[in-house]
Amino acid sequence: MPVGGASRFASYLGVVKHLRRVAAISSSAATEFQGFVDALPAQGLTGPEIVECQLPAGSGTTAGARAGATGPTVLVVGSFEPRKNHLAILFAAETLWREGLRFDLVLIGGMGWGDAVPRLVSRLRRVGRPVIMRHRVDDASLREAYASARFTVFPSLHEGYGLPVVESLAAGVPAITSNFGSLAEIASGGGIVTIDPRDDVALTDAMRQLLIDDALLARLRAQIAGRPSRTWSDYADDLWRGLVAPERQVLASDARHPEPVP
Amino acid sequence: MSPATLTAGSADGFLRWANHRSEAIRRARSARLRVLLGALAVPPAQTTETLVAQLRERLANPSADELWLALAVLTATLPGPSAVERAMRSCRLDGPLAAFDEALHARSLAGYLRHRRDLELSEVVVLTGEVVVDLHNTASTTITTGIQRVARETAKRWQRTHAPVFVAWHPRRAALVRLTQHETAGEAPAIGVATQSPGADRAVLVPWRCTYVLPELMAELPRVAALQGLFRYSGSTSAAIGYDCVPLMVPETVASDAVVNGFAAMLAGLSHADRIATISEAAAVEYRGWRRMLAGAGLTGPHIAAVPLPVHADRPTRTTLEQARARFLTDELPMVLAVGSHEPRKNHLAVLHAARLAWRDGVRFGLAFIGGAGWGADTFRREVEELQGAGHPVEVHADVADDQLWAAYALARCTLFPSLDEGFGLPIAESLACGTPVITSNYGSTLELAAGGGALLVDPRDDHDIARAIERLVTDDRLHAVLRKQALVRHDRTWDQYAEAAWDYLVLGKVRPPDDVRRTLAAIPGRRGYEQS
Repeated sequence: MPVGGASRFASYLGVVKHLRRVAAISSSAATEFQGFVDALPAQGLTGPEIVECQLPAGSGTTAGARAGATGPTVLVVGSFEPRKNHLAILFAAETLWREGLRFDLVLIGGMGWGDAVPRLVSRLRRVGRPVIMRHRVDDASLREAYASARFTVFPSLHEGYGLPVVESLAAGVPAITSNFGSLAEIASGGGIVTIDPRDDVALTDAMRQLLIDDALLARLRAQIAGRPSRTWSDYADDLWRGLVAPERQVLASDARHPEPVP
Repeated sequence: MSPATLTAGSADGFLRWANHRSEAIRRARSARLRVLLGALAVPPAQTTETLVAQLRERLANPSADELWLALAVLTATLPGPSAVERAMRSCRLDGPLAAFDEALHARSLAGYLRHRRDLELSEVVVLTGEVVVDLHNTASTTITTGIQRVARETAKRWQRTHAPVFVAWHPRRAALVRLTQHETAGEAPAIGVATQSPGADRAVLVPWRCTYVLPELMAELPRVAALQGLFRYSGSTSAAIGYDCVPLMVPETVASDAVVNGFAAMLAGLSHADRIATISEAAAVEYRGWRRMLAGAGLTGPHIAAVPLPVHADRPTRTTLEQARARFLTDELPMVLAVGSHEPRKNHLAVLHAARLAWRDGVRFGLAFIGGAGWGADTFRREVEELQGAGHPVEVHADVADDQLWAAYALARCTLFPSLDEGFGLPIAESLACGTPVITSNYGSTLELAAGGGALLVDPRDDHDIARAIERLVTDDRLHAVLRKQALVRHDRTWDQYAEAAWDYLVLGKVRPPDDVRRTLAAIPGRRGYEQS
């Protein structure tokens, strides 16, 4: 987190503790909110009821990756900040380039904070490594980037959901992501290779595997095509059931009984 | 050799570092190479070239722990996790010497390394198998907050019974130095306070396979990063006292965003610790909730157990009693005492309003506040002046010495402490130890303390409830006598017992038997949410 982020989030939690219900976007996020609620008896409060409403995750098929300037493209989407773990990806890529593998590395994301990633990317480009950083990418270009990637890499250290992995699935493109929390939840549906994001060697091995093993890639693509699709309508229905419907029942019984419902 | 693309350093650069042209610096650096090799169980050679060769061979394929140790010894600074990760990547790509060269030239967080000169000659000592107690803040101040009182009373006893190594942080960088016995006891001007920078010339300590104990708070970002590195890579057992989670759980009652951010940084560090001894069961509830939240980041978090603080007060002398009588009592009215700094969390506006309600009902008592300025107290001061203007007996006292405070408790009819959130509630414990009944909040740590007897519980968010409790305790002599008797026969811990229990858990990892914990919890009424997960 950047310095100062914590206090804003703490203020937000100050509101959350007086809510009746919270719909968490993943079961990992639900566990985090439940932990916060568990701590509230110490200040004499009950806190909200936490329900879990998974965000939608589509599944798609890809026309097949297109080669970049020097080989297949490995795509990384996410703002440039330490949590997204770009330094581990750059280390893995450099290791694989030195092994003689040929691939383009494309990093797309907002400018985040910290200057370590841009500095490293500059160093790599100076010695001719095929890596590019792109900011301010519109939706069409982003779709195009997913569609032409061989696979995506998202070894984030912490996510409530992990949109780039979901986008990758929607484009029919396999992904490498972290083996815990919300990312592991998404991965359990298939089409994804999970690794410990704090283990550089595991990340390097996974990227090497997906670069050289066409059969594995095909299997992962087939798994993605077979994933159940969850739509925004499904999500909206779940939200209504989780957040609004129970409160309407409470209001209805309040109207019958003037005493507050415990 | 492949081009050094990721590593901003080289083996040649490291050799140049080791062979610095100044003899004094060269000798200091050779000494560090020897210390490092010694800690890695390699008998150090004579010449610099051979030492460097030994290091390259020994750390050709290092563990993260070994890299942490190497960086700590070579830079005389405790590296944070990102420095260790970076060094590991550079080491894998370009070898250990290039990684060290890079680390030695790395720009550091917040300019911590800007004063490089006094780094050059520092002696570095690797401590192994010791218990290291970090007393930095407590040794750097003469102020006595609740936290400093706990850290001092505990350290004093540990010094006598266990003689651990007491340390503080170097005045200008993330490195540990040894505190003298006088500094530990609070008898000598401590590090970074009195003069320019005592401690800058002391040997830098690198704890390796030790036990590190933090009995106070830590909020400076570069230090927290260093601490996280120590927890993760030094092979040490790490433990801390957990006071409360107020900055995160009730941020609206904290003076500034900086406090919240510093506290969040400390929690990030503690997520890699092994044990946290909370000062009450209620504080354990907060810390366990936080630990549950760590799962989202793939972390397990520390073991958490409550080691409740003692209930203690010194007995005032006849003279201090007389002085206090003259200072605090008004017209021989029974005194209702409110102790604590004037800040929103202490709920002093509710105290004033409740007192106003009780006075309006004809209850006769004087209200005395003892406590520092705190923050956000403008409304409080205005209302006090308004009440005083209307002829109500309310006084606010600041700068009250400990012996006067003990005397005030002894003279009070009751102590009023309807705080909104506490890790413990020191004024309750102090008042009860003096035999003076307490009115306090009906949940959390204050409820827990009250469960031992001598207190009347109120909803701190209901001024009328507080007013009724004041009226009962001021007017009902029989109730007052019952509570006073309860307070006097409580079975509470002493500081000696606390210090031993804290050592047993923090250092030795001994937990109380589950039956014992269950009994404690069973004694707390309405302990919803207290069951250990």
